[in-house]
Amino acid sequence: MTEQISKNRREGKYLTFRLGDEQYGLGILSVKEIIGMMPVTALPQAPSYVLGVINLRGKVIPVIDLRRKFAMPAIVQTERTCIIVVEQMEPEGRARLVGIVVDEVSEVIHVKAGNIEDAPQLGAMGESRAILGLAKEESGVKILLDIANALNARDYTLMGKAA
Amino acid sequence: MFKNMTVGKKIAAGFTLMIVLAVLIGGVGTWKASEVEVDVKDLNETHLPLTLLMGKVAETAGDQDLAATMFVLHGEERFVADFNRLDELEDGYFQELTAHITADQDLVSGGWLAMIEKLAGQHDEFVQAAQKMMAAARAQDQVLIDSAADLLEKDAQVFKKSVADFNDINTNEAKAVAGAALAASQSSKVEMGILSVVILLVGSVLAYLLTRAITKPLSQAINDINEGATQVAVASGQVSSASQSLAEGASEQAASLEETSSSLEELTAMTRQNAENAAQANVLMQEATVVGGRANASMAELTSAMKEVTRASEDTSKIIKTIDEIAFQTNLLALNAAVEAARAGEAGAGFAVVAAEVRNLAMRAAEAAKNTSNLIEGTLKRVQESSVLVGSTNEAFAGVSLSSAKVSQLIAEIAAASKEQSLGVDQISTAVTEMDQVTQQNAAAAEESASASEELSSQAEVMRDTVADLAALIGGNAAFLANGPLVSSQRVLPRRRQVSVPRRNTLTAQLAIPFADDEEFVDFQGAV
Repeated sequence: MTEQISKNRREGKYLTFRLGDEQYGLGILSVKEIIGMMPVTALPQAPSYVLGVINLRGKVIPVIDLRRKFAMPAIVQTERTCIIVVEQMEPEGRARLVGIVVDEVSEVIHVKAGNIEDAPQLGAMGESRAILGLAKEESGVKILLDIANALNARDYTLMGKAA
Repeated sequence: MFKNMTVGKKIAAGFTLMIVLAVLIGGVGTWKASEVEVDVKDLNETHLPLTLLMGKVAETAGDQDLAATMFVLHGEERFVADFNRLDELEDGYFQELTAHITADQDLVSGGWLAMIEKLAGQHDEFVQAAQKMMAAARAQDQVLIDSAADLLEKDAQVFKKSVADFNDINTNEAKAVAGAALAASQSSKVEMGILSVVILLVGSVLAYLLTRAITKPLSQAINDINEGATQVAVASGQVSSASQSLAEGASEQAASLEETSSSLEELTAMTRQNAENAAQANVLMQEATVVGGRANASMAELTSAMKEVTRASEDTSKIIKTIDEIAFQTNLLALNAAVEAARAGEAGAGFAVVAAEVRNLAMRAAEAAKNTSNLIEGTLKRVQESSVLVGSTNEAFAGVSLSSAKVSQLIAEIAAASKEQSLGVDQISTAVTEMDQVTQQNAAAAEESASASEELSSQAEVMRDTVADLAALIGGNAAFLANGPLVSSQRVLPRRRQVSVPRRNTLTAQLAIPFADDEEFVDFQGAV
């Protein structure tokens, strides 16, 4: 019963993007906005996957290189490279904005609950918790990310410091 | 030493020796003969007349005795007259005897004159006794006659005895002289015989040596000359065969020269053809060069046109890029709108549809821009390929142009070479003509050589005859006689060949080289 609820909870609209060869999905409600690539100010002593910070309309937000975060090989940025600004609810209940760099933003899709499956429990717990589920679409399987789990707590501390 | 002397000296030396020996034998003979002559002269002029005179003295004395006796007996005065006449005669004889003895100094010194004087004295005593007897008879005194007769007889006896003694002495002396003469003549005979034998021996030896000394080198010389004549004959045969092969070579050469001449004509024709072809090729190449120039110009135009196309495509590409960017931005905007619409929940449902539509349009615009971009890219690629092709074509044309320039140059060289070749062929023609003349001269030389070898052969024959004469002169040489037939048999064969072969060859050469204007050749032909 709880599983069903959980599944139902996962149904909804997702913003899909491409990272490498794979398509990922982000819950539409966690997305604040999509912006094109812009100059990033690098931060000293930051983890390698933190590119730096950007000034988004007077608001300085950190930018994560999701490729590095997912231990994927780095590529040269193209004109398709975008920053997705996601809104992250912190434990204190305060909303926080984080930019994640993706190869290309695809579209907004509606995923039905019947098309979502759990990720197989193979690797470390942290890794699998980052994946909300796998959406089976006609264009292929899309990896639905739980962005809060994907960017772990330490990152948030770091981000908070940065902010 | 004897061997090194000349024949003349040898002969002179031999004759000198013989003359010396002859003079020696003559001298010895003359000397001996003069010895004998002295003895015989002594006998003849002294001893024989002495004997004769002494006989006459004895006879006359006897006649006086008889006349005195007859006067005594008959008393006739004529007997006295006879007696006186005889006495005078006797005196004359004594004078003759004295003269004879006086002529010979040896007799004078030998006491012969004294003997004659003694005889004359005895004769005077005998005459006195006879006159005394005749005076007694005239007085007719018998006693006195008798005593006178006795005295006369005694004196006569003494006188006769002296005459006999003288005669004995004279005879002995004559015998001695004759014996000496005989001995001298005998020794002379022996000496002359020995000398004759010596001369005979020396002369024989000398004659043998001289003959040997003269005939041996002469025979050697004859042999050598004969050998030389043989070799000359052989050599003349070789010369003949050499002149034959020379004539054959000349005829072959002449034939070759004719072939060469015709080949040269063909060569000349080919050279001319080459020159003409080269000229035509030159014209064609010039045309080709003009065409190549035009092609070059066209290619340049093509290149510039393609550059224009490229530039236009690039411009278009930029525009397309802008369109693509706009589509991307529009897409982002549509996505943001969709996000906003989703956040708005039910209220944003309519907006979401609009956003989706906008996004579709953006996607289509992007798609179209991408297609156009691909097309332009393809165009650019093709233009680039074409550009490469044009470049290579250009290069090819440049190569063609270069090649045609080279070809032109080569053709010009060929033309020049053809010209030189033509000159060379002319020179070769001249050379062939000269060679032809040389061949004629060779043929003539071969003929001359043949006649010379014939002459040589006849000279060898003459030499051989001379040698034969010489050999006969020195009395038949065995070696020469042995060589003789060999020489003649070797000599005849090449001579016959000499006569026939050159004629045939010159005729062949004449047939091979029929130059009517060659005067020498006509003479040459006539000479054959």
